[in-house]
Parts: sequence; C-alpha cells; structure tokens
Amino acid sequence: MIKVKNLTKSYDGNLVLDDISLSIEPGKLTTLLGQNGCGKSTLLRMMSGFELPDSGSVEYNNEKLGSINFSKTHDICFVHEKLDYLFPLTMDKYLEMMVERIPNWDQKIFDKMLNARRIDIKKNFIDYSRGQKMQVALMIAIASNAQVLLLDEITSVIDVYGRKYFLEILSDYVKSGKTVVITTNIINELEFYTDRLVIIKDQKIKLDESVTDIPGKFIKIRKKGELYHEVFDDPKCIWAGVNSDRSISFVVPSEVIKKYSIPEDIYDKRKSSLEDIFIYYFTQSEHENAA
Amino acid sequence: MKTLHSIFHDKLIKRWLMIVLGSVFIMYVVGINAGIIKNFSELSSWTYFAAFAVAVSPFVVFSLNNHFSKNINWLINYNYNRKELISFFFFSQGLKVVLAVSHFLILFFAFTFFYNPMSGSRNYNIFESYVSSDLFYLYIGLTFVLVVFGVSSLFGANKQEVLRSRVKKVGLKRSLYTYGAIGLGLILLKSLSDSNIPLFLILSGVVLIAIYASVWTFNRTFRIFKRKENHKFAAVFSIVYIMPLLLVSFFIKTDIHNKNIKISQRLTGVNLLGHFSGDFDSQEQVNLLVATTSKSEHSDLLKVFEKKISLETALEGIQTDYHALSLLDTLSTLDKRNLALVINRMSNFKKENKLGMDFDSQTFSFFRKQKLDIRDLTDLLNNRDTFKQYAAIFIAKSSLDGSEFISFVATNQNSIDKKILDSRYLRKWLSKK
Repeated sequence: MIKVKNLTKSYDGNLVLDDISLSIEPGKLTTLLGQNGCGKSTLLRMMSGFELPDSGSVEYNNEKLGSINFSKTHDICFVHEKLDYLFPLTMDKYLEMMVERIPNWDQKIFDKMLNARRIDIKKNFIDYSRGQKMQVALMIAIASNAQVLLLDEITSVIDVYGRKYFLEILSDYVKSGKTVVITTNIINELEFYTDRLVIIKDQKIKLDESVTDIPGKFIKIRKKGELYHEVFDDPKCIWAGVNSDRSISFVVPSEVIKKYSIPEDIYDKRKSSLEDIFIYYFTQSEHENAA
Repeated sequence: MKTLHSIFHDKLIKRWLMIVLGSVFIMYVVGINAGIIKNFSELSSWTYFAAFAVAVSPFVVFSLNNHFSKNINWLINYNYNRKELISFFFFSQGLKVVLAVSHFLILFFAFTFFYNPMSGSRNYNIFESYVSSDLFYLYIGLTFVLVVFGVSSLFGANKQEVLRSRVKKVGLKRSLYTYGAIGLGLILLKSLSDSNIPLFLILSGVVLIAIYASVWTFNRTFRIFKRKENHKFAAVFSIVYIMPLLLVSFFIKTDIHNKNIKISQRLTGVNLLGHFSGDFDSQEQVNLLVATTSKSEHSDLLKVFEKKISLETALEGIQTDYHALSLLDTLSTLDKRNLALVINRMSNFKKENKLGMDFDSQTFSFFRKQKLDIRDLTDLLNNRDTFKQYAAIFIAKSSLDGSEFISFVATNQNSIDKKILDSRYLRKWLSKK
C-alpha cells in the first residue's frame, strides 16, 4: 500500500501540491484527474520515489520511497510521458540483459503483447514512433509484474485500439491484486476500468471517491428550449454539455436537487459520467473564484 | 552492477581502444612532419590541429557515457535504488578516469618513442616540481576528477535539462543567480587571462565552480536531497576542499623562503602564490630569475618583485643568450629600460657564445617591440658590431613611419643592402613593407 502523508511540493516558489494525504490500496485502478499543470505528474513522481517532497512523506509498505536504499525496487514501476529514454542497444539486447534483474518478469505476456501490437523489438528505442515508445515502455512495465504500476498520461499518445487493448490488460492486472495509478486527460475511456477517482484542484484533493459511490452523488438534469426552473439558477447547477436534441444537460449534486421540487421530465436518465463530474468540479471552482 | 555494466558500458572499451590507436597514429604522423620540417614556425596549421586533437583525446572517453544519466529517471526505484545507481555512477566515472589516465600514459610512452628526448635547453622542471610536491599533486588530481564529474554529468539527460531550464522564463531571484554565475565566469576568465592572479586563487575559484556544478548536476540526476539544500552541501564541500588548499599554500609560502629547498621547487611555489609569496632580497630575485628560461615566468616574477630589481642585477648569473633574451625581452617590455644597454648585453652574449650573427625568432620578436629615434638608429647602424647593425634595421622598421623609414634606408643604402643579403629574417621582414 502506498501512503501519501501531508505532502507539499513547490517549484521555484510556486506551490504545486499543498498538504495532500492519500492512501492507495492494492487491487484497484485509481485515476488521478486534474487540469494541466495541477500536479498529477508531480504526485506520481513522488509516489515512485523519483521526486522528493518539500514536506510530508510517501511510503510503500512502511518504507519511505525517497530513501537512498529503498529495498522494494521490484515492486514499483513508473511509466511517464517523457519518453526520452536512450538505450545504447536495441531493445531485445537491452531486455536480454535487464530481465536478469527483474525477478517476476513474465516473458509470455511480453511476447503476447509484442505480437498483438506488432512491435519489432530488434530496434533501438529511439527509432520507435512516440506511440510505439509508450507501448514498449508499458509492455515492459506490465511484464515486470510490479505490485504497483504508476502510469503518467499513457493514453494520450497510443492509438485508439492500443488504448483499449492496454486498458483491458491493466484491468486484468488489477484483478490479480496489483495496483495501478493512472493520470489522464482522456477521461471517458477510463470510465469502465477505474475503481477510484481522485480529482486535484488548486493544489488540494477535491474529490477522492470510489467510482461506484459517485453516481449517487450527482444527478443530471436536462433543459429543453425555453423551459425555466429555478434549479438552473443555482450556482451548483453546472453545464455538462449539449445533447443531440439540442437540449442542454446540467450536473447537480444530489443534495442540491433535494432543495428543489423538480418535475420528472427534467431528469436526464443517463448517469453522470466521470467527465461530467470533472467538468462539475472545475466549473464550480471557477464560479467560486469569480464570486 | 553487472547488468548495468553490461548495458551501459557496451562497446566502451572497444571505442576507447579505437580512440587510443587513432591518437597514437596521429601522433606518429605529426612526428614525421615535425621531423621533416625543422623550423617550428613552418609547421602547417593542420599539424597544430592534429597535435591539439592528440592532446585532448584522453578526455574523449568521458563523452562515451552510453546514456546512463539519461535513464536515471527510468531506473530509480525500478529494480535499482539510488544507492546502487550512485555506486554504478562512481564505478563508471572511475573506470573512465582509469581509461583516460591509461591513455595519457600510452601517449606519453608513444611520445618518448617517436621523439627522441631533446638535449640542451629543454628540461622537465614542471613535472619534477609537481612530483616533488605530493599534496599539490593530490589537489591537481582531485580538481581534475571534480571537473570531469561536473562536465561528464552534463552529458545525456542533464545536458538537455540544463539547456531547457536556461530557456525557461526565470523569476527575478533566479535571473539574479544566473547573472551572478555569468559574472563569476567572467571574473574567472579575466583571472585566467591575467597572470598576475596567483594560481592558487584561480585554482580555488575553479574548484568552487566545479563543486557547485557537480553538486547541482549530481542532485538533479539522483535527487538525493531537496533542491534548497544544494547550496548547503556545495558550501560544505567547498570549505572541506579549499581549507586544506589554503593550508598547503601556507606551507608552500614557508618553503619558498627556505634556501635548503631546490630553487626549481621554490620557483613553482612563487608561481602558485604570486603576490602572496612575500619579499625577496635582490640575490634571491636573481636566483629565481636565473632558475627559469620561460618568458612568461620572467614576466610573472618581475611583477611579484614589483620591478625593484635593476637590469644589471637581473642579468647576473645568466649564461645563455636564449635565457638572456627572454629576460631582456620581458624587462624591456615592462618598463622600456635603457635599450642601448640591452643591445650591448645581447651583442656580448652573441659574441661570448659564438653563435653567429643571423637573427633568430627570439631577437626578431624582441626588436619588433622597440623604438629609437633616427639619430640613435644611425649611430647603431654605423657601429662596427654587426649585431647592432641588424638591430638598427629591425628597430627602424618598427619605430619609423613610412617616409622616415624610406629616407633612413636611402641614406644608409650600402650598409642595409649588405645586411639584407646576409639575413633571411631581414629579407622576409623587409619584404612585408
């Protein structure tokens, strides 16, 4: 289990994360959401032990990740979006040597992924396209069978079939009791795989909920044409998108809905998506800031 | 360690061997050229370039980093912890230091093999002094290692990061740091170009910069401590390093004035400490001046002595014309002493050593800087001493303007024509008119 305790981090005087605490439990896929530059990647870097916090700590099974002689190095694998690794050898030769060092290496699954994604391993890493680089890094991470996979923006560069393929594999990975923490900007694709959602906004954690608990907390309502209802004036009634019949959907917290008597036909039958919730949190914060 | 060694040192030894063989081959080719063309000034520019390439070739091994630092952020806590990665980093750098030193040794033996040890004026005082001062030698070695760490850690990922951070928008505080660093760099360059600054001060400055650069880049790579703590660590390392240097300087100062110690060693000490060497009586000044034939060392010494020494005293004990010319050249450049006295002295050296009368590059360089009026030049030209006649023509060319020089040549046509026929240097010099 990874425990983040009162973690604060700033760069050049700019506060990025402020007193954040979080526990990442095994057997779950946790998604970190937030606007660009909100500190998602910084948090992952500190969870991998690569970056050190200004204050607070990050521990894995009661051992500090920033420690110089961290012992559980086979348990954590971090794949980040900066794909500027440079290996002096072709990947097959590199892995031939490197796997000696990885105790739980699963050659079978690695070969399976290679075949499925048709990636030539006899190339130098630098010769792959950006998407291929990400896939190779991801394949190595998955085949390493680490207890914790930390994946930073992996979905943004992989093609749509590839994304689906790897998300399925990650889903199985989590089912085997391992942990995956992922940051992304493409929210919808993760909707069906995520167990837990963490939203970071203004250097703080704004939401940390199990995905199964979220739908009950938000209701979607729909405004057609000139229809008026006082709920639409509520500052917590947030625009969530335009539908095909030109009606507009809004997402509203359940406790707000309870304050109003809303006719049945206003209710949107669809449940709130992760994207709706993401939009809700960010639009609401902006409203609060403007107020 | 074994796995990292297999991955990141792949082909390292093979490439190093290629570089060693290449540099030895270039040295051999340069050796043939230097042997065929006797006159040093006629060596072509590519030969200098080749010689330079040979001289820097041992450092090339530090650029063969096989991207280890580029992969640190991939490897930290993924099958390797920081301790293992740092151990490998030091092993890698240590291996490269060993390869570089071996390369130097191979080049040194190749040099002695291709070039027979020269007789006469050349000696190896510098090496002798360094070897005899163990502590100083240790410092040179440590400084070398530090500079190497600093520079080599800039290769790979860090170089990109450093370059990237340079182009990012920086706040006032950071830009002040940047300007401070640039200022410090400029001061250092100025110090290096000004031989008046004692070597131990320059060394301390270089060490300070090397330590800060090393700590900063090292922590940027391995993230062992917080960024704010960089200064603290660098300051501690600097004090640990510079304090003994000051201590050694103190011992060197004591040794400089100890007459039981070899003069060549004391001379090295004066070069190191410069103005901090203390006062010398005139006999000591002469001893030190006589101990070297280097023009730059003469110049440095005279600055240290604050020009108190007289020309006659300075020339005492000097035995060869090469040595005297170097010293006379320095003296005349520094305060334009009595040129007639200098020329007299030079003429005597020429006669005493029976070295003939043709001008060589030393005398050429010396007279080019002198100035005399037409009357003194005519006196010199009409002197029976052939050396003085040459001197008159050279100085006339340097100090008279176009019409004056033409008039001087026309008035003394016969004397000058004869000298032109005798001297290759003079012909070359006048043909540039």
